[in-house]
Amino acid sequence: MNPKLLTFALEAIGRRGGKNAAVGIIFALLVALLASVLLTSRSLQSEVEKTLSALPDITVQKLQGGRQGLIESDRVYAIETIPGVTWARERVWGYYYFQNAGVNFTLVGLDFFLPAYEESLNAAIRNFDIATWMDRDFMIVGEGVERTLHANYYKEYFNFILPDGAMKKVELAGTFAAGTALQSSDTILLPVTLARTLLNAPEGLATDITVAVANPEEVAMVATKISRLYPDTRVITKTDLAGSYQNLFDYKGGLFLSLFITALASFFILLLDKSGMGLAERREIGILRALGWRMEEVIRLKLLESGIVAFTAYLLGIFIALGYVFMLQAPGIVALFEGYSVLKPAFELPVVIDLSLLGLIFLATVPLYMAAVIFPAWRAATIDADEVMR
Amino acid sequence: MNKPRLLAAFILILIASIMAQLVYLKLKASAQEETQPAKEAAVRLTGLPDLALSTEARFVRHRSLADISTILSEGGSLPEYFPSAHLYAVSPQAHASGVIRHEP
Repeated sequence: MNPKLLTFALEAIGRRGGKNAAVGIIFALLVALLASVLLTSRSLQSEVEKTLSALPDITVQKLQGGRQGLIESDRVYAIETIPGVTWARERVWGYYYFQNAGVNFTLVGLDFFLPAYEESLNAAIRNFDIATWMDRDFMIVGEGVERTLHANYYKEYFNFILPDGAMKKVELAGTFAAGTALQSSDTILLPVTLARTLLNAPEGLATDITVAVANPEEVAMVATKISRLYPDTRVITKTDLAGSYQNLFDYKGGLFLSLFITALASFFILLLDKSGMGLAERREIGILRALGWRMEEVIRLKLLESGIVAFTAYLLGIFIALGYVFMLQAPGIVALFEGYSVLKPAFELPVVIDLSLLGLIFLATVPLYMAAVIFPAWRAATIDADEVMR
Repeated sequence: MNKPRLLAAFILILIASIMAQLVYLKLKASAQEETQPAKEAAVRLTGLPDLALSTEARFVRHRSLADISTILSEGGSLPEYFPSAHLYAVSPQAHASGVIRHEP
């Protein structure tokens, strides 16, 4: 690149400093808005994807009259006879509405004495020793549940209201480890028998059945066999979950994008109409042409000028977005993802800097800006120098 | 300092700031990685998918396990009542036809 042309372009930007700064700041804010929304949704999406491997390979639900109903526990034995199945387990879980706080808790029944859970219990739960809780009604709660209970003066126990209206006192035995709020904030782990009582799930029935398959290649085949064995079931595989995670925000990301495109379109129309090519700029092009500059040289200069403004604004926008999302935790945008929930998890957005996303934002904004500036410059450069200066 | 130099200095400072920011975020990402085993263990215990980010509606809280009836059981017109329903796409297997594997 010709360094003199670069100096000339920098000087030209400086001559119209006020206008370039105003356009640059609006452009940077638009880039920051788009990047913030996309980085936040990408960050949340990566959070669900990272724990996909810990989920069961297959979940079997029973459909009854179009709704999910309780499934017979003894189906576990038939499912375990399907070749390729490592284990099948009944699962009892559901929701409990705590009216005082207006929040939904997710109750999950767990066989705490199953050796398979020992390692996970040690890794995920703080201050918990199963030996001290034998034959007692206890629960392990997520960070959000603990906060809600404390706010309602339940420090050591909680009184659940049973389906028949009676009270059930359950002691607080431990909490999920810090940093797992996005996975466990609303969760209450209970012994299976207690979960059955609270959720009114009689012995012999379960909420759903989870299945582990040794060979990932065989999951689809096993799922088909389960469907054939029990045609009234809905079988969800890990591949389905991966697909579900993939489009977590696709439709809504599109919603943001359409809003952004509207804002961007208005910006460029404004740019073209009002400040794209002022009288002084046209005169400058006329003078350059009169001094013997060729049209491509004028266009190269304008490209360089607009490129510097757009690239600087893009960098500024990305700088703002990264700081806003990963340092300030995207206030405002995260609230959109939380909705009306009273039980908001205390979490930190996982840092995910997706270069392809940043590249996409670059391609969607910078060339458009440059085109919006180049077109009027090219028009001015094609007119006779004498006419332009007059 | 004249304007071109000032502008060039601003661009260089901006690039340096982004570099510093990226280094900081990289360190932060490494620190966050340390909680990954606990997260996986929590998911392994419950076996339930999705984030506890929005708990207002069941079809949003456990959207991957929800079917179209779960959505409608909140009330035919209620789904769009929840702001989070505008943000989270309905799970592709919510419509049972794609999931129940009946073969002729």
